[in-house]
Amino acid sequence: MEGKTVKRKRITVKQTALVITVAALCLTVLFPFWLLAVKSFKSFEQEIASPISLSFPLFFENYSVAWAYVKE
Amino acid sequence: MVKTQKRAVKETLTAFAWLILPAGLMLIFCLYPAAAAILRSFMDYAPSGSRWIWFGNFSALFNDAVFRKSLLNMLILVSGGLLTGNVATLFLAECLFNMRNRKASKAFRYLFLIPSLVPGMVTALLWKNVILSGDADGLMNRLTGLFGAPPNAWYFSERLSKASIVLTNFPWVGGISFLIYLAGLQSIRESCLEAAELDGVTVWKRVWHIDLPLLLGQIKYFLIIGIVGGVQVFDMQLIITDGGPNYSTTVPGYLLYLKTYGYSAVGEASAIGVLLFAVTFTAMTIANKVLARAQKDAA
Repeated sequence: MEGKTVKRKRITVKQTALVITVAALCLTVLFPFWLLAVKSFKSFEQEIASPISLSFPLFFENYSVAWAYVKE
Repeated sequence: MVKTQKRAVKETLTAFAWLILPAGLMLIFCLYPAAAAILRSFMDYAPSGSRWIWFGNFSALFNDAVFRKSLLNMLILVSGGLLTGNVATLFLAECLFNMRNRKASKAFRYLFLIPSLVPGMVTALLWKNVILSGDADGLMNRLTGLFGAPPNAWYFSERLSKASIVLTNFPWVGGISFLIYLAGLQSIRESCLEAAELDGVTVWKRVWHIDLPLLLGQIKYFLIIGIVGGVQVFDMQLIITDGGPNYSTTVPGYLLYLKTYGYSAVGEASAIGVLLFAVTFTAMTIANKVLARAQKDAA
């Protein structure tokens, strides 16, 4: 009986480690795209001040500039 | 009797009439360019008038130190790409397959697909300007700086340029290829896995002796697609490195492009194309033969 619970515990530990590994992989894969999205809302000054996190107020001018290029 | 024969002839004629269009299109757009490339590889080609120089283009190529270097670069980049891509995606597929929590496994499957929604050009520029940027402010330079390493130029240093190209898109799992491995794993018979579990086989042993042999079909597919694509690709060279520094990332595909559109040396470019075709064909045949034998042994 005791052996069984020990075994089950070991399986849970293994499964948790597995989920953590995959989550870490997932974060590494998605991090560049997070940067991509966040940087699209930054002015040049905001980019220098905080390159990684979202900064407020959001800067929408990048999109209007891009749209102007698309329209041409 | 005569009537049925006449009808058969008429039907055959109609069939051939319908076939003329696709066959003609195939001839013009698929066969003609390939045949022309092979012919031009033996010519000193110029639109005004070409002349036959037979193996002149090929000997010029092999006397060119840049071309010889580019062949070696291609070998390194293709093997690096095949190794990293396949090991990483297989690892992820195994992780997701062994995850008991179905909901988490499903959610991860969606998340890992997101990168394939972003154009490849954007990813390449992101790696060039943000992650492996040569600035001291680049993400990787800051990361290695934490351990006291001096900043590197990555794509623009001769020592690291090839490694940087292989490192791009780390950890190499975003996209759809892991789904193909996952599908392969899911198609392994339940009884097989249950028997292994009852025999107390450890996960590593199961992966080596059951999963990998039964995934050989998928591995073969990725190997062949990887070789064909890897030999031809030169997007990183075009977008980021220009084949430099000091030709350390130049590959034959990029030279082919440069020779055609930069120097109008169509003959030499065609010779590169023919050589690449030969290399791809040989590598593909060897990979196919080796894996077919392994598959036979596994069965």
